[in-house]
Amino acid sequence: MPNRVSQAQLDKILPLVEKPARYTGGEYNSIVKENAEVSFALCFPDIYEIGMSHLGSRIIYSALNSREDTVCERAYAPWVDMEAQMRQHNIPMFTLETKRHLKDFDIIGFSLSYELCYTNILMMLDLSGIPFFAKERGDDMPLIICGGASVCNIEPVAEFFDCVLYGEGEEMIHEFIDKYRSAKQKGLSKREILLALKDIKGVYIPSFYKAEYENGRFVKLTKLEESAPDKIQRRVVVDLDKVSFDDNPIVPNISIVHDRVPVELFRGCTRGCRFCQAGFIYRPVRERQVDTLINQAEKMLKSTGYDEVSLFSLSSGDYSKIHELVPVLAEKLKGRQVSISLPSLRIDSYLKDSLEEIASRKKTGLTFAPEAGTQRLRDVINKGVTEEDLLNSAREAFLAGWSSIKLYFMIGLPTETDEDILGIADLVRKVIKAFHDIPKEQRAGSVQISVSASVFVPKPHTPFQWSAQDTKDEIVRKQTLLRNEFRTIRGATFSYHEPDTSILEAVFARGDRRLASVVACAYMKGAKFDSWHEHFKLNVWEQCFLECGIDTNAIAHREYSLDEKLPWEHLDSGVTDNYLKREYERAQKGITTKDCRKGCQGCFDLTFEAYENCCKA
Amino acid sequence: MRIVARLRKTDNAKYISHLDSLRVLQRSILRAEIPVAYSQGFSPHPLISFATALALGYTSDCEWVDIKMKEEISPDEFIAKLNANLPAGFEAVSAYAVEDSFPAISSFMRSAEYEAIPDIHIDFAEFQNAVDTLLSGSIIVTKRKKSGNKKIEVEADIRPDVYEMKAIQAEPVKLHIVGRLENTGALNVDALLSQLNNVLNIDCAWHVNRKAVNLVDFNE
Repeated sequence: MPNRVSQAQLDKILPLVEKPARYTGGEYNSIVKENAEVSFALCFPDIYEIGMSHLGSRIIYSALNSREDTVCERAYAPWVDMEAQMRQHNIPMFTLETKRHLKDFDIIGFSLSYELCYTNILMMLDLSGIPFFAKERGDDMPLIICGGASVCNIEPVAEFFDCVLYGEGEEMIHEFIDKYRSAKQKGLSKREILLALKDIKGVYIPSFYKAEYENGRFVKLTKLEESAPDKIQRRVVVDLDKVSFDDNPIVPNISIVHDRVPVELFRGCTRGCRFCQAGFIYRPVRERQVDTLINQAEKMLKSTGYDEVSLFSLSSGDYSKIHELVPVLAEKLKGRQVSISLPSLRIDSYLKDSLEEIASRKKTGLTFAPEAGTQRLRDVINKGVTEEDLLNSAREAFLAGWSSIKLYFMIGLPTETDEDILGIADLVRKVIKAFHDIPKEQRAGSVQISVSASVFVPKPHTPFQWSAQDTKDEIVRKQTLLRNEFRTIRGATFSYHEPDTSILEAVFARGDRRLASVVACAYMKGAKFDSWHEHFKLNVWEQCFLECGIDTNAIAHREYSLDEKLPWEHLDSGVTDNYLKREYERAQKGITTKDCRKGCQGCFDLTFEAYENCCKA
Repeated sequence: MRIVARLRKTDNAKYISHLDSLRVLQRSILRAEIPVAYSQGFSPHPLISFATALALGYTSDCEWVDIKMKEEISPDEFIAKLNANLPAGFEAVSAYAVEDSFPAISSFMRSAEYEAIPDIHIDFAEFQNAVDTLLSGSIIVTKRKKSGNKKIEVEADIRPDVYEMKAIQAEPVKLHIVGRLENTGALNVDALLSQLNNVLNIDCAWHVNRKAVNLVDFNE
């Protein structure tokens, strides 16, 4: 019998923590199974409100629980107050559904979607009494696996995991459980189980490879297990209309970040912005049919009681049938007090009319992301937006009654000069002028532009994977330059990120296996919730990099040469190295590349499984 | 028409705050396709309200809710539909149909009955003494209050809000409390229990259950 945390233990500590319902489960549509052959603890290394908003792990939860042979229960990183109580009362990490100790599961699977959650993985293992490194865990320990966007360079944390699942999980997770179950039935050892799992496409077993370094730099990954694949191919679901989806999503009992029905229009993005990892690692674009989407929206609204549907994807406005979908959905929802939200979308007048017909409750903020201040730099990053486009969209929004707009930019982009930085302020002045040029009676109130500038982070599998991130001093200098500029602009506010977390993000984005010991070191010295400003401990990280002999400058702030070996080369995203190099070179020359809906640019390896289905027409 | 209904909140649902509970109820009602009415205006919301808030961590056998309907629905149908759609720890026990003009259920509230159980052993004789001591004089607690724009702490005697308090022999002991619960003010049970802890010179957590809300002119 698995061990469970008792109600008496919970009642001792839950009254003492913030938002205790984060830890109790019992939500509508959550699944409690008595028992099943395979038990899977699905872990998200951040708090409940963030983890529950992550669609990928919800898909896995539903896929696993749809199997009779498997029970999947959830666990989220306890917030610091809960962690302290758990330690004080010797309560180990447990799942929401049946309060089962994490250690008593067959498999513990982490969903990893960003770099700054790595210390929380260790916190959750630590609270479970599980050693951090795979090599320290015997056959009595659960199989520790992971999946999610961070897998495209999992190397910095690879040594913590027995097994890594690369790419989309809807099909792969079933193949994984099938193999695992039959291995378990045969009573195989962990090593034998891993040998069986390695044949699944998309599965990566880090211990079957060894990283080698020369002069402090990664030079190659050598196979220790002859039968392991040379490259691990990212899994892609070819037909999104055929794959099962979660039509009974869990309805949280407390507010979460994305508290609405999620309808995913398509995966992938055709725009090819050169800094954007999601734009490359989710290729090719695969759209769902309008009927599928309407059906999903209706089913989920009915099964959840939500009053808002979010039509999301990387760039919802690019959905080819958006003008068909929105009016049909709006018509269906008429009179039902359900609103539709369209994130990352330029609202044109046609859509605006159909949205106005239904209860569009809140006038949500409008956000545009020009990313760079000058046309030259926007060409470098291949952001296919001109100043004219932006000003037209802003003008349309002002005429439609908006007076506040958010604008997102990045600081530290490759080839950036001070002229580009000052260009941000210029562009904002022009947007404000566009507002004032509209006759008073046709515009609303006074203009408010919120400008936000993040720090560029070079990411693997993008054309900028070789590019240098600005040093801290340089970032601060540019931020100051821009901040001073905004002092003179009325009607705009300027906010920006502290550079330290962005630098850490760059180190973990491009790092190699040696970073695992840094994460372990930082965790032992108190680092956790690193993406939370109030918990980020710069001094701890600096000390650990020093102790572990890692030169962060060489990882984050250096321009890599095109012929050097990259730690993530064996994790094949499907987009070829040559394509990324071509894009990198075009970027240096400021040459743009067309949206691939307007003609195939040849980014894929012809053997890539989804190649036939991409929008090359 | 309106439905006034009594809900129970048990088990881990006690860890769901008042505002979150309201949201849970709204979503359950929408799932159940109960024909709830919406407010007019720029930001319409379903017309659902709890008669009174319940402190985080308390269970309750008696949470009155007041729901305005846009179409007729029988109390039985309401209960059946809602119970099929509530999450763990929530249950609709009874429901009554009333006219729109019927006063809000909260206006009938006069007092509430609570049972509090400590999470440690307390000697009964000592416990009884402490209860008697508390009842024999004023029970002064500090309250946070707004004065103009400032928040200040003021002392207040909550003894008049305590209508009944009895020590009950059991293992562990139980405390039976009847206290004021009206639209205009209510007994602060947490403050009372913390005074009791002071008298007993212990630091223990109490599990509190609201057993009943006493209403005038409204008979179940």
